[in-house]
Amino acid sequence: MAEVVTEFKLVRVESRLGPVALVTIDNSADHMKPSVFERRAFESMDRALAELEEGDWVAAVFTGKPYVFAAGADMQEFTRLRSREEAIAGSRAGHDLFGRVRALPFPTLAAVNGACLGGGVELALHCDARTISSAVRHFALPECFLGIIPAWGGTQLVPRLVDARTAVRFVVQNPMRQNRMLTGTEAQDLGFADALLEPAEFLDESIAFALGLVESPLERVAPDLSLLADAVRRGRAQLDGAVHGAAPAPYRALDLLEGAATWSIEEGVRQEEEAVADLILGPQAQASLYAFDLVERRAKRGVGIPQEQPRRIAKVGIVGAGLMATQLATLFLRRLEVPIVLRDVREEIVETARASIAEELAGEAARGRYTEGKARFLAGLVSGGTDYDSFAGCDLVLEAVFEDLAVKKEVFAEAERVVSPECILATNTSSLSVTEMGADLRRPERVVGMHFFNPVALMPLVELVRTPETDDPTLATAWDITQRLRKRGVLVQDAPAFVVNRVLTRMTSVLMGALEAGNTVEETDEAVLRLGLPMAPSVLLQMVGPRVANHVLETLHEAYGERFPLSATLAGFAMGSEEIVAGKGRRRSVEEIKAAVLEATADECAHMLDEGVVAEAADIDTCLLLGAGWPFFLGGITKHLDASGISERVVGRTLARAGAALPSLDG
Amino acid sequence: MQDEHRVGDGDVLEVLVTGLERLEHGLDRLDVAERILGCDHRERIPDVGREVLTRAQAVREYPSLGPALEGEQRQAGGVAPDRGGGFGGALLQRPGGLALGTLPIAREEARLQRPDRPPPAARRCVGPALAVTRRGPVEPSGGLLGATLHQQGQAGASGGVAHPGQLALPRIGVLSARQARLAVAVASLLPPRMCAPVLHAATILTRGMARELREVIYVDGVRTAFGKAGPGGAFWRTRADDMGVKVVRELLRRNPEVPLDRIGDVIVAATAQVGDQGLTLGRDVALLAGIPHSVPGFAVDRMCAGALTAVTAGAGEIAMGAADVILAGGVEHMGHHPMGENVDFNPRFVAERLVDTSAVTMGATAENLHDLYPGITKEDADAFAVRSQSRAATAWENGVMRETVVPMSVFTDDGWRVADRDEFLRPDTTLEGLAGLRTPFRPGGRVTAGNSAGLTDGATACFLAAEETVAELGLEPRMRLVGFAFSGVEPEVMGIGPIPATQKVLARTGLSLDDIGLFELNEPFAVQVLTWCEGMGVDPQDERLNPYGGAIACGHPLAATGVRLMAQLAYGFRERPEVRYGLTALCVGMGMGAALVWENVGSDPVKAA
Repeated sequence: MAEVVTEFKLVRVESRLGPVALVTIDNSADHMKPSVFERRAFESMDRALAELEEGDWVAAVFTGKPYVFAAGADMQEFTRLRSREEAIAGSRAGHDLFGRVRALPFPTLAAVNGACLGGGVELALHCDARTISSAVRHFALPECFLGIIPAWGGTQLVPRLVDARTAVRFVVQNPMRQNRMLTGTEAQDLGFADALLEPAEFLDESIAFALGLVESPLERVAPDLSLLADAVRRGRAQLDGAVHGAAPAPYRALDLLEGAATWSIEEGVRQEEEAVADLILGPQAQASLYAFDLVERRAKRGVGIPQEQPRRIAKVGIVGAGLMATQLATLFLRRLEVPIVLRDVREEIVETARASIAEELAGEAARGRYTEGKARFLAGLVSGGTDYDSFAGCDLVLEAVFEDLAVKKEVFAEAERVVSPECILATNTSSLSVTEMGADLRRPERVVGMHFFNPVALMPLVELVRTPETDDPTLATAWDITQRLRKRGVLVQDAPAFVVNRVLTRMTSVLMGALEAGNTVEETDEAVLRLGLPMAPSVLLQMVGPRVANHVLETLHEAYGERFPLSATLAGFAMGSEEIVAGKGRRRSVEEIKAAVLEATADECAHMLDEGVVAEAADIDTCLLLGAGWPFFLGGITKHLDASGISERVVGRTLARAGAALPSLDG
Repeated sequence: MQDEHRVGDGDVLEVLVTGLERLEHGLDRLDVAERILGCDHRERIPDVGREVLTRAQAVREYPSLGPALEGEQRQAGGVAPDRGGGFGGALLQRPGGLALGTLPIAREEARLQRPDRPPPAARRCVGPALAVTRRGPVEPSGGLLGATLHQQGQAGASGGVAHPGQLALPRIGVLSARQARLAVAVASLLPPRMCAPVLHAATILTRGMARELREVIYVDGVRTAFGKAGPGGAFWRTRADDMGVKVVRELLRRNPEVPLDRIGDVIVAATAQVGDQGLTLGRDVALLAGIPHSVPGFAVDRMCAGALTAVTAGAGEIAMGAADVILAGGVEHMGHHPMGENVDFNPRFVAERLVDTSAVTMGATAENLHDLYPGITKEDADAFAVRSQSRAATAWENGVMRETVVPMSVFTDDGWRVADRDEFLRPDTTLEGLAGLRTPFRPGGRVTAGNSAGLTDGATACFLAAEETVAELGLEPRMRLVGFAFSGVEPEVMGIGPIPATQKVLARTGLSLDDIGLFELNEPFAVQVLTWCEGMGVDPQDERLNPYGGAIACGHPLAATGVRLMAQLAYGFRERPEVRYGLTALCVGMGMGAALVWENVGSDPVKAA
């Protein structure tokens, strides 16, 4: 692969007012490879700036190649940083170059034509004005999301451009809310851009806008910096509630925003340099970069998925019409737009499901997501009843019935009776053996697990479970379906509870033990929240349902014995009791519980890797990031366990090595 | 009673004319008079009739919309042409719930006489209305209307023509369509019971009736700079349809008076209708340019005459009353679509010797012209090329290119840049320089890269509008399409096509060559223009011919070129207000010619630089 280098390409454009410098940030690759600022990009920018500083320009317009303005720093370089000095130098290089843009003696305009992230935003902020295309959907400073801070002037320039609350939201809160990004329209509304232009002729109109700046500079009202302190205080309170102090970057970003009220820009950028140097080599930042790579690159590759032609899916059967099945039906309907057949034991259940799907579609139509006709078309694709005969012609039958192996086997047997030999039989089981489910079928090679997570519409993970019998076309098709559902699939072997539920249940076992030993729910919750996990375990348990949780525990207990001790308390919860059954052991401190959770997790990860449930630790992390919403700054979990020495202590080696050492079990 | 008041034939006209203006004021209040009457002396019955119907419908369903229906039914009767309110006033007091009684009318009078209010459109229209009445042909539908009114015996319903008994049918028969419309419009002020029959008549009036064709006006035209086809050209990495979008949007920007939903059709020509020129370009470009989805579009192909054909097709829509405003133009990205690409020639052409094999290579057809006109030498062609280059160089210094070429930012390997100049300009071209160029189409031939147009990427677009729409929207008229002709010749000498086309259009318009003060001819090959000169008896050095140079100097993006010719002719007209007629013409592959005659109707001349 040819090396991709971003250049600042300067072209002279003659205008009625004199020469305009048109600078394109372009890495000469297509839009799938956004331009980023790596070392040589800065060398190119330095040369362009030299030309800008010496020429007879009346204005300069910075813009990007089609669909991309600039995606900021090259994160690959972050992982190669070795020292604090290197980190400071990287930040300072940006400060120096961008500062030279700000110092240019003629009007400068950033024409934000496409994705504009991190350093891209910061470059734009150093220009006198910004135009933005109404087609832009990614305008953000994602640094805090990645465990660092905007360190090319972002924390100092944002509060000088927009109001204090917007600044806090943009620099800290949006990145911490699943890396939320602004559209061009939003960016303009909030004051980041001075003009929102249509995508057609965007650059022509931007050049005209720049000429307007030459004739009459913008008059900008500086935001009231004295409001920063209060906005930062609110931001900090909100952050405490979200990450419980576990992620240092957003706190540092808040400090820098607050400082902007009193520092000069020069003072501010020096503080940025210190802050980023403190953060970037730290475990959270490195874990975040690792997690980002997993989610954005590795998970899209389909590690271990056979290169087979996927089968066409033109009709889908869903067994069960309960809550989960209804969610699945809705997802398949919206993404695949094929006939969906629901089957349950009673007609009313099916009718309720159909009505709820129709209602959801109507709601979407009312919100303008679908036209009325489209909503009607989609709703009309859903049929159902109590028999299996209407599954005839299905290319996929997915079961989401009660977690009982015998029931599921019967469902598959009934389905196999009516479907073609190629039809895939998939199960959404969360813990049962997929292999056994297919054992009595005529064609067990068509059976695969597709384990979705609740709520289906939001959780991106699908654990794709391969049994020893599953054939390549089946797995390739399951992967393809997952892609088309816009979910991320991770290949796992057929082992009890697969990955996410196994880790969560092991954690639950520790917590149940603590409760039974006399700890309070508040303490166990706090222990987990201090890790930075998104949801208190007591809340999660209510969401999953104690019955399901206990069922998974029983399955795991049966398989692995005392690593998953049966819990009288959880069994009681499952029966509707709220009583905590006193058990053995002593009451522990929150920190002790937290440590115990991490140790148990490390142990379980090692077991999974030893068993070959997944090929690598990275797969476990991908599952936890996408299926449990565990935070980037823990790198899923194994990155944290390895970096903090817990793996070494508990299992005698790092988990990253544990996985890599084993041969892959697939094929 | 007023019923006894009889009106003679002559009086009817008199009454009509005196009453019209006031009627029109009344109509103004419903905001229809402007639409009905704002259109000078040309009729537009179908459109307006429908509008009146719509309005009437609205009035009937929502009484508050119609001031005339505000009050209780008035039982005042009689027509009094001599009353203070005049004929119209009397009419507006007719029974049936008209609220414009004496008092409202007095108020109306006061309002109308306010000096700060511009004179109603109606005033401008009385003259033409009268003229039409006196000269106009008998319109059967007028009679139909009259008959309907008569049959109904409804005084008020007769809309400004007094009582049914007073009007002889033959007299109503000479009502112009305008007056018939007025009657209908007035009737639409009446309550349902009374206006229904009139509206029924109006429906008949607007259905399938004969009408005059409308004049077609060229309003404005622009083009991109023309780039060299191929990786070295400015547009290499720019999509053809995006180039179309650019010129269309520029045109919209320059003519903000045109409401987008008044555009009746978007017609874009391309010779290669595949790839980025493939998706029914007119529609594709319209959607991409942000024109409302309700506006249709299509693509045309007549090779080099694509844009000309887009214009004539659009002119047809306007003349027939199918559209008021047309966006027409052409795109050709010859870099993305080399000539002959994806073309599968029918073997019969060769097997049956239907055409000479040289017909498919345009350069070879140009060599054939030299054979056909042995008097035209390579030196003549080169001299013409030199002239074209030097005239183009001057034109770029002067206003014409500034006005007709829109700069477009284009993404290239060097980043974004702005394409604002034709890439074929060689102002320092000399005869000596041209003499040594290769003759790629024939050993020892005469056609060279220097005396032909290069392979070009470019896009053009123009606005056409009905004459009355130009007035209605306040557009600046530039040229009136006087006539056009297409003709066919032997494909292997396709370059002579414009000769019969020119002869044909002159014959059909009754003009002679001497009437034409400007010629904008395409220059695919210098020899092609020279054959036209010889065929038509025009000196190649004539100042009327291609005053701003031609395709040899600016390029020839096949289907886009026609509008460039028009834009330059329109500018030429502005520079030469004394010139009345001009010609745009070009030859077409596979043996055709196209010629359009335009009349200079502009009113804002530029001074010759």
